Amino acid sequence: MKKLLLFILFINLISVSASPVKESAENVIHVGTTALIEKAEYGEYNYDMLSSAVSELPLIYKDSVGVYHPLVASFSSTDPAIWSFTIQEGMTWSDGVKVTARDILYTLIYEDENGSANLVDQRDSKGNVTKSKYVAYELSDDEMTITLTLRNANVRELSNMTSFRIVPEHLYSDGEITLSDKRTTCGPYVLSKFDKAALIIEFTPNIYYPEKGELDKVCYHLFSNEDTMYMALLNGDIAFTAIYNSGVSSAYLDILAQSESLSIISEEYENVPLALSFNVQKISSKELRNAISYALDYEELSKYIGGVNAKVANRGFVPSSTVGYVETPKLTRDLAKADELMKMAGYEKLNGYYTKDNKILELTLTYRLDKSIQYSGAELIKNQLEEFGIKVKLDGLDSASYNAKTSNKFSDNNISFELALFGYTANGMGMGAGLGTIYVDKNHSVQGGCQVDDDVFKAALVKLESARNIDEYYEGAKLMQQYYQEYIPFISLYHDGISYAVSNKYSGYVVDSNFGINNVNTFLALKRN
Amino acid sequence: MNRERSFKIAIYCFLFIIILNFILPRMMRGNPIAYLTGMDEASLSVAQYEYYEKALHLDKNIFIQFLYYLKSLVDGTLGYSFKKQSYVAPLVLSRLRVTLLLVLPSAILAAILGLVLGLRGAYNKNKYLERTLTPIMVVLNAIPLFLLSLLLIMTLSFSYKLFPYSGLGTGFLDRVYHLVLPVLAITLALLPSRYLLVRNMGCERAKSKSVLYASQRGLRATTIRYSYILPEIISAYITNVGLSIGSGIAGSVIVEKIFSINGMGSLLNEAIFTLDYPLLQGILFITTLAMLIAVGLTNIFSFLIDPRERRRNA
Repeated sequence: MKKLLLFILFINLISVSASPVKESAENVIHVGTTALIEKAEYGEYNYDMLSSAVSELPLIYKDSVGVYHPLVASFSSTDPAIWSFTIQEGMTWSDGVKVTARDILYTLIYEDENGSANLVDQRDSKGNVTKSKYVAYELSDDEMTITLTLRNANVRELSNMTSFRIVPEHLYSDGEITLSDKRTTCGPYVLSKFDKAALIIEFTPNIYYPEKGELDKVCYHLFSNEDTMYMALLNGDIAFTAIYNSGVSSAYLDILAQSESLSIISEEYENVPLALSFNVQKISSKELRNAISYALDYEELSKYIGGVNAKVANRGFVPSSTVGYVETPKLTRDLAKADELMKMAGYEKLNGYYTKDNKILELTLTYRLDKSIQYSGAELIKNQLEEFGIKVKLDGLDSASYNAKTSNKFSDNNISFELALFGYTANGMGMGAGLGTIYVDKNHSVQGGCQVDDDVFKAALVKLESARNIDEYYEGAKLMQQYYQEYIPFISLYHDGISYAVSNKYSGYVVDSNFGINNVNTFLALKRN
Repeated sequence: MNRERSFKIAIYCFLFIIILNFILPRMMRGNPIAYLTGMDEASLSVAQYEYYEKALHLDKNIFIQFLYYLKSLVDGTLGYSFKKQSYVAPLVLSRLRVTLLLVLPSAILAAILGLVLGLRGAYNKNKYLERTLTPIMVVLNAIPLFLLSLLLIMTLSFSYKLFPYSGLGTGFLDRVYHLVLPVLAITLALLPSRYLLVRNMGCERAKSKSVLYASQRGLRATTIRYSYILPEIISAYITNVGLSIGSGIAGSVIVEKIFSINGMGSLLNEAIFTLDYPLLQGILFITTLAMLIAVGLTNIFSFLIDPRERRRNA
């Protein structure tokens, strides 16, 4: 009995001295994420996405209804090819040095040194040249405004600036860049602790930031698995989950919605969480791509893979909340039409499978193994296409191998997939000329998965890129969606809304088009109830 | 089995693993460059292909390649992970310490509890304690570790808010506190086999004449358990415990994932997920080495505490 009492006392002692979430006078918000972060410094993709909400602020932000607002800099434009950015009053680096427009210029140069083509042309190992995005720049006399001239006019240039984060020139240009330099930021919070063992990243207020929020500390908890993270959310240990540009996983939404301590915030804008892309260099037959678009069962795909708000997409690919959206027919399964198109493509059905020159048609479908919707989707697509008569070989890959097969940048312009599953965020689809064109255009320096290089596409792209006002942009957008509908470079398997589960302990959550609920305005506005 | 012989077998197995580690990626269908870099062969440019072929010494004959491989083991780098852009040894060793924080206390706790409870069960067969414990252990043995871990989190962390469920905490006490649940999970996973082994072996010994005489002479139950039954089974038990290091590490792969702990298990998970073969090879090498050390220590320990072993080897 004595031993038992001693044991209980010992457990009590450590319970009291080291409780998991200490209640203190400090107003600390706890946020969960499954992002894998190893260095917590500028340039580490997952960290950049997370800290964009607290410390590494983008130049501007886009609210949930698609309107742009200044963040680090205000903006103006008299011509869609010329954009000026003026640093906001009071913006200061966390080491006390004033932020200037020279930092914007230096960041563009720094990115060029690391492979981007902002101000200088880039040439890859095969000799392909990517022309610089800007052809000129001008700094104001007080060095607080920079005016950038684009090679091609872009009425939607601001969308590119919602993920553009600047680095401090005074630290980066001075020889070796230290860890401390990489953590010097100009947001309302600054990284104060990264504990790799405790899996915690803490941010405390940047005393120089002109606006103050109520929160004394933002503490991100890095989880290795979603189950534990959502249990922590249900348990009230974290206020919300930060998963870049996507909301709560559809598998957990119902359970979270039943909790009285949580609220669900649903956004109207939609994503394309799962799309089937064709490498048109390999699947060059327009009829074959169209046949596949009629062979899939979209009702089944949205029902079994999508969330509660998932719905069947249209042939024009982009969701209705996209700038420039036009109505196109809904995707439907029509096996007779698909069969007719297969015959037009030169295939005949023998022993249940489409065959050409005595060879059964077999396509390889590449997908990511670390995305549950992708492997579920891959299996479903394989079943549906094989039921129709097209053999499918599944090629599940880790993210690095997947990127090396599906993106120009990571494959050194050697994209090698046939069919691939992609997930598109609203932000990704809005980049470049918008409407997901960066994923279609063979000449895009980073993406270009569909490898499209034909004249019809180029004409629509030029129309989008050269739009001098929003009406002209809408004309280009219409052409592009007509192209998607007719040539099928990719198929949106369903459209889905985004929902966030947030703790009722706080009020004032703000949703950002790019970063979802985890954004700077949330942290500045949150109040403890 | 002769201890010297079992140790020799362990060394042969270790050498076999070393050779297998070298041969496997070269024997598998496809290009070894893809396996050894973890990259997709079709996606490699000509320049990249040539670079990796040279860096991996695949342009040399197989014996020279083997010598380079042995050199990486001897110089302690354990090869190079192109995915992580780092030598394998520092990657593994930085995580090994965390894994040992989980595996060693669990193995020791399970060994002690298994011994104490198993001896009680053996000497008190068909009594209340044994009739309760044995079915519990059988059920516990059948519960997968991931489920056990989640059940512990749901009850002790979320329902009763007694223990944390994520990370390792900061500071000594906080770390101990954070380790309670993951260590408990692995301990509970290892315990049933220990308990059942001791109980079953002990039951046989409890029927022996020496135990019967000791009992008739009125010796205390504790004395009989630890002075009459234990010496008879301790040698086999220690061997079993030594070998449990391997299953402990296997268990930590799951537990580290569920409790968000950055140990060797999560590194192994990552290596499998990203097809980082050099890293996998390194982890396999370290794990085999740990097993070999455990077998060696087990033999030494048995030799020291079991007089029959000493007589046999005299």
